Amino acid sequence: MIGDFVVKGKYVGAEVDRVDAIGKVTGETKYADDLRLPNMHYGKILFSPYPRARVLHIDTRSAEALHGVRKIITAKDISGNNLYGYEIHHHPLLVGEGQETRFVGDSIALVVAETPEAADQALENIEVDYEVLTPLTSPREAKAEGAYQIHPGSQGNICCRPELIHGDIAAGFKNSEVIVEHTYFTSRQEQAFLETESGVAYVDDSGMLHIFSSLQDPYDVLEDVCYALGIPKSRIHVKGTIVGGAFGGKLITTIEVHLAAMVYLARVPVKIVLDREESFIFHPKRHPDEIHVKVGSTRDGKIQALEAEVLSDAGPYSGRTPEVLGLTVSALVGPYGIPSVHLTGQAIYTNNLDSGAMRGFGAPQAAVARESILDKLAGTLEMDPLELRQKNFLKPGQETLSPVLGDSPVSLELLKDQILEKMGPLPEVSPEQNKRVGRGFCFDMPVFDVSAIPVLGKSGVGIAVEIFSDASACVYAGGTELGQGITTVLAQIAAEELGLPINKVFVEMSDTWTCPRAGRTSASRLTYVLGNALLLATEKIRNTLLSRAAKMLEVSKDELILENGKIKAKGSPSKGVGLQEVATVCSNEGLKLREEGWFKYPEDRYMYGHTFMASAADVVVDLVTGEIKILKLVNIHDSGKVINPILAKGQLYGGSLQALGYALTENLIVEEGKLITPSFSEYLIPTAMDIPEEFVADAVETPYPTGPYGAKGLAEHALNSTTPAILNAISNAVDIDLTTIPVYPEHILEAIRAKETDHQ
Amino acid sequence: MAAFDYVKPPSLESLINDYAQAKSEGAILAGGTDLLVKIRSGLVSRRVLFDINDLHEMKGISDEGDSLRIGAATRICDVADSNVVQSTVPFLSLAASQLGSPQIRNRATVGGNIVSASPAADTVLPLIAMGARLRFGSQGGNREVSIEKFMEGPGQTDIREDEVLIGVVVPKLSNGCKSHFIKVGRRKAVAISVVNIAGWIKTDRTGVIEDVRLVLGAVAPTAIRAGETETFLRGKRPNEVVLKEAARITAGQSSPISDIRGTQKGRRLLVEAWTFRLLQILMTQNEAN
Ligand SMILES: Cc1cc2nc3c(=O)[nH]c(=O)nc-3n(C[C@H](O)[C@H](O)[C@H](O)COP(=O)(O)OP(=O)(O)OC[C@H]3O[C@@H](n4cnc5c(N)ncnc54)[C@H](O)[C@@H]3O)c2cc1C
Repeated sequence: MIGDFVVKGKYVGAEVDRVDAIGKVTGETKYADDLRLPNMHYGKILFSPYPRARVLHIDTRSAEALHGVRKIITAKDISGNNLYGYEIHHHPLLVGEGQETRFVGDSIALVVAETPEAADQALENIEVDYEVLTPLTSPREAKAEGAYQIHPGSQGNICCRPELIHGDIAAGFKNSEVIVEHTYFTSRQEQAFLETESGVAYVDDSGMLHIFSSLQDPYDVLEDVCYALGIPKSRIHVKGTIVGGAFGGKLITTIEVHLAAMVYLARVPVKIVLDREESFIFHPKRHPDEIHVKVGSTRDGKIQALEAEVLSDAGPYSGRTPEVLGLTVSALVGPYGIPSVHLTGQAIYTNNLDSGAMRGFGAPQAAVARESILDKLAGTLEMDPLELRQKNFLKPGQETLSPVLGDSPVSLELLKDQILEKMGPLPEVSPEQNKRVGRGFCFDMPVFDVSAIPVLGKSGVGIAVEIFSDASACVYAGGTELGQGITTVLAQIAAEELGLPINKVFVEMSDTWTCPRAGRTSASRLTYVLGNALLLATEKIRNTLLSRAAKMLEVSKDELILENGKIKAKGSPSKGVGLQEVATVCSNEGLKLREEGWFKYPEDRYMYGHTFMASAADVVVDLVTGEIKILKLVNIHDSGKVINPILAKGQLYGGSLQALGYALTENLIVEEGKLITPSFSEYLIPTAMDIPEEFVADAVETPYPTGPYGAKGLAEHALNSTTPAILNAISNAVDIDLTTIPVYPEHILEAIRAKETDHQ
Repeated sequence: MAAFDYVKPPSLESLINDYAQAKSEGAILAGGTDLLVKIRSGLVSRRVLFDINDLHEMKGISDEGDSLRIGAATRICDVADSNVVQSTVPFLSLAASQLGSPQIRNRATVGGNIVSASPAADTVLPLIAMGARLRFGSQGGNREVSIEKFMEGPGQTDIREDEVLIGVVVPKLSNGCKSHFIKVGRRKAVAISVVNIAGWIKTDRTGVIEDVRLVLGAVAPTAIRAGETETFLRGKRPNEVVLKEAARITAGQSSPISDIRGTQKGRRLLVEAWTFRLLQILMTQNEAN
């Protein structure tokens, strides 16, 4: 069955062009910053210049007196809780007099002005007296006894402490003939989305607050605006605009609470667009982690025990940290069957930049540590790294340790074969060139949310579909188009099921007024959860249409098929009726042509679905200069049935390039709580010129029993697995340990020199 | 972003007069790829900008026999693509072709690269290696100064308040010289150099080094000549040991700082590694280069 799943519809599984392609390439698509409202004002935020300071006094008088300034808002103007935050509401909207700031992204005051220039001028004229305090900028320092508490009551500044225990770890190490251990340091990574945080909002005549903004979950925004400002949820309408990238950086409320406060208090429509420097300090980054890992194995490479401790910098607020670190800890096991594990993590509050969700959600850090230590173990065992992995692959039917359902057919062997085939032989360099080639592998088990987790709207997922009397259809889905292509995927499924040409299917997304609740757009989840919900909804509509057509055609409903805008009898092709005619009749008769589908995973437990992923890299390293060149990068995933092969490849290419940056160039430097790489001239993401010479993306399609057409989720994958493949390729090429990312050429030179000195 | 007036003087003469009158409140606007970034970030504020982009006296590359004259407002892309630069000062073209990105090269100018005086400025290195001379104009008359003397520190030069850089005179490489430029960045485009190196070498018929220039960027307050290395190499017949030693000596002459692009230690390692590589390339390069 593996690899040859039968469903190959007209649209499902086909290389359908993105439905939003034309608008995006012509520039007609409207992003939040393109929206204009009558009498629209501009909102700006005064951020704290210090990571930690007590606000003694705020004087807004001279700013208020400036021409064109409509309103200056400080904490005392806020009548709600003035707090927001995912799960724990401890993020102040505005830090008021007498309170302490916790990082440089904390807001002190809001300005509403007629022009952006006037708003800027007002910012400069707000006078704030601070008592500057010493920030806590290292997790070690922050968890030490006697350190001040960033959130009063948070003992040792601990944000969370996940743990995963399985088997008898002491026995595991006792059974091990070889034990290796090492510490790895991963860096803070910036999502680097193209579109900074932005939105517009206004209050209409009935008192309804409308927010249009660049977000990942409109319902989280409802939650936060309601809590922070005391506005009833039923009086808030949130519409996610077309998003220019998010990668987790917009997974907690960004500027929407600020925007709502401005609109309410200034009583004019307002737009906020953060500039790049503001954006860099404002949203949470990938957690920088220190991971100590120890692995024990028999001489012949059967891993017996895995122990690890993760120390993670949570930044000032909890946000997504508990979930992210939970995933880091469990992802340390990876796609391997290990009899005993003891994995712990600690996320510690600091006054650094905030940490939170970023593509991969904690798993990329774990993959760096896991796959690096595996190569180190292989080196110690003098075993081929691929063979070591293969020996320890999760076997079909074997228990999975991490919080994953374990109901996915295991295809690791197949992925391994595929990747070896795609990689071909290792390229050679002539020895006198002072260059070495190396190959690195990574296998991974990326998870996707199946809506089993019974919290915060993550469990039930709704969607609505309506077919109109002109035989066009519209899908209303609560997720958000971030650029990943979900609108296209949903259009493909709806067109397939309703027998409509795809240009008659429209998809409206991310609107709390029209779309049923679908939870957040993250965790590689939408194709699976919305796809399933959509199948439930279209089934109801099909039923209505086919039942009515059966009466019209005087045949049994079971004999009818819906295809190309027509309903036909299977046996007698002459017996048919146009969908438009059937829909018109249904509509006239008041039959229900708008249906909702609600999908929920059959069980309530904290579980993810899982997929499989393999990456491999060939690199050449110059021994003289340390220069690294990636010759070839191959990514192969098994996420079940692929609904759209072009979009799937796009996910792999994009994730893989972000991973390349994570491995080799991206370095967000925070010193004493202040960001010293605040823009894209200092924070270097890969450019088109940095794409590897050979860049391959492909799929193995093992159908997933509960997925729409057998599909699972695919999005974060290659970001987990490419970084370790590159690191392992480099370290295999020149036989050195790499412990810190990003890896620069001079680090390689240093390591080579250190090794030479050791040998002498 | 601070507001400013924008003026486009019709002639070099009026530029010189108006600029002198504006005193410290005026700035020359060439490509704007440095200036506008600094104005936006608040590092620089000026009441009036004088756009020199249409002043033909300051544009273009002309062959003056033993040397080239490059107008200050000549675009980096034009230097990179110029046949005469490629054939007579090839490493200048090489440096220009690696500056920034196509978009930046289409705007940025040679004069701007020189006057902004970044220790990492790419075209400055080959210009120093060639002993280029800068020509300034002011109400007081013209002045010429060697580019090496002109550079005083990061962003600091001996330009006078009323002076405008008109052009740069670049001696051509003499016959039999080979040149090269290396830019070490963190990625393949749009990356300020972590270290950059320019050099030329002239060997006699027996392979002994007659003369050599080596200039290092981003590892001292200004781009610097590695004088000790030059002295060490002159008269030597290069082999791997000699080049290794030359590279080691070169690293010792750098005085890098640690910043966001690299550490002091890392930069020293890179200087040594890439000096060796650059010398290797120079020794094996075809004369035609
Ligand atoms: C994204 C980006 C990437 C970059 N990458 C590189 C790189 O790789 N390598 C590199 O070296 N640089 C790089 N730069 C810096 C910059 O592009 C160069 O220094 C460029 O050559 C500056 O030229 P310009 O014409 O744009 O200068 P401008 O910004 O117009 O001027 C720079 C300064 O020189 C003064 N000035 C200019 N012309 C004259 C004149 N004729 N007389 C007197 N004063 C004058 C101006 O008043 C100003 O102070 C980069 C910049 C950006 C924004």
